[in-house]
Amino acid sequence: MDAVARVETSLAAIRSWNGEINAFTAVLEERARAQAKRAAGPLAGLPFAVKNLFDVRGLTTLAGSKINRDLPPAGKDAFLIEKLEAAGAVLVGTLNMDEYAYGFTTENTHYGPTRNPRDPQRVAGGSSGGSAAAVAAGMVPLTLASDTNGSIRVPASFCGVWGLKPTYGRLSRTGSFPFVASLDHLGPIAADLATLAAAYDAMQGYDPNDPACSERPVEKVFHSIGEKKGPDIRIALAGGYFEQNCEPEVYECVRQAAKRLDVSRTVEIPDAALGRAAAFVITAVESAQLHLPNLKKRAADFEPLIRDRMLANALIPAAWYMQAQRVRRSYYRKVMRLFESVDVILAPATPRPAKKIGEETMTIRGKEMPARPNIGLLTQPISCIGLPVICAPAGEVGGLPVGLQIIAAPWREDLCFRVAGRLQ
Amino acid sequence: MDEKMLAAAAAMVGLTLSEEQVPGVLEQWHRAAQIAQPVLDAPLAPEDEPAPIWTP
Repeated sequence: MDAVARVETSLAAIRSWNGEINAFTAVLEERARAQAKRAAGPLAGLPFAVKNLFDVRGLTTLAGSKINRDLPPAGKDAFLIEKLEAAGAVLVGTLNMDEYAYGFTTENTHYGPTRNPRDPQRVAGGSSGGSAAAVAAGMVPLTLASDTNGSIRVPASFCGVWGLKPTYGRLSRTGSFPFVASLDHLGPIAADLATLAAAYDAMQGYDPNDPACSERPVEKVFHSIGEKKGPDIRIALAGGYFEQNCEPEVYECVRQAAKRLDVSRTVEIPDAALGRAAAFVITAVESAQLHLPNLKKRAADFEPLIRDRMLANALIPAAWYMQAQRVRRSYYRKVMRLFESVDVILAPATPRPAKKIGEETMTIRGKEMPARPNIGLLTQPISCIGLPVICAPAGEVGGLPVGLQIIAAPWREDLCFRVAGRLQ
Repeated sequence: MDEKMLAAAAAMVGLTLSEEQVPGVLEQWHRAAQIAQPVLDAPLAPEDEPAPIWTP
């Protein structure tokens, strides 16, 4: 199929499905058609869409908020959009999300909830819910998303699609609306592993405008899928915290995936609970600091589901934040020691499959807890220290998809892709 | 933290909380404090320096 036909197919799918799913907040038909005519490169004609915290020339960068509607339209596309378009991909629209990326469900009061294509009564996950739902519904094969505490992996898990959160600093964040500067990552969500890898390869590259962006050379991964040569990969299943904080059926699903890879070893990621708690504190303080001017002037305009949390976050003592950053360093050292004896760790991505829209609580191993802050229990310890991780579809629990995290040491995305290639 | 302290802390950073907002904000603050507690109790070595810009 040529580029123009692929884009028209995508636009038709958006027209058919978006009314029910509510993944898109803007569709760029004119721009997409013009771009499709001149698309050339390894991704020629591949339609993609972006979470609406990415700058898109001519659109206001909403970041899921009402407040940002007052900002002027972006004058330039985000760095990663430019990279994908340079490789021939075609931008077709922007996608719904939790306000300011602070959430795991995309139950957005201003723009409506994004519904899970596998069961529209359920959430798509978040905060990149639109990004995962658009792929799962077949509206686009590729989307861009952000992941601070699990916002790529949670919706990928809930919607049964592939997601990559690269190493912190690997992909430039220039032209994206921030959430928590020291934890923010950007990455792709895709319908299949090959598209995920091709998009990641196209987006790599140093960007001096993002202070966290690494100067490391581009390390392409596409060839890693299906690679048989090279040393054996030492793979282990994460037990302990990761087993205790998910439903038994979810862990069994991940165990079965591990079995398919002939994995018999179990390891415990040391201090995972502490890492998660540190990520929670860092997120609370950095996000509240970012939004403090608007919290002072127009708190009523914030998403009601996060307003009280954001206000409380502004009152957290500075000493807690510094302690959390030091704990993060200590936790990182311990996990790096674990990576001396293992190359890849497998872990569940979410404690349960997607909850119903509007449900306030969830149960894990018989214990009831507030759903929204706890859906990221298994993703937060990984992003806290910037490790690369692929979220792969692991199977189904009660007819709903759940994902598996494939985690490696920093800069070893190639290992994540090699293991994912064996699973697909 | 009680309601009085919350109001004082909010005033220090320039936030105005309405009477209706106080219970919800207080509940969220206590939830954060509960999650933060193990972080505050964690033993650390001098080399565990803060890392505001993370470079793995």
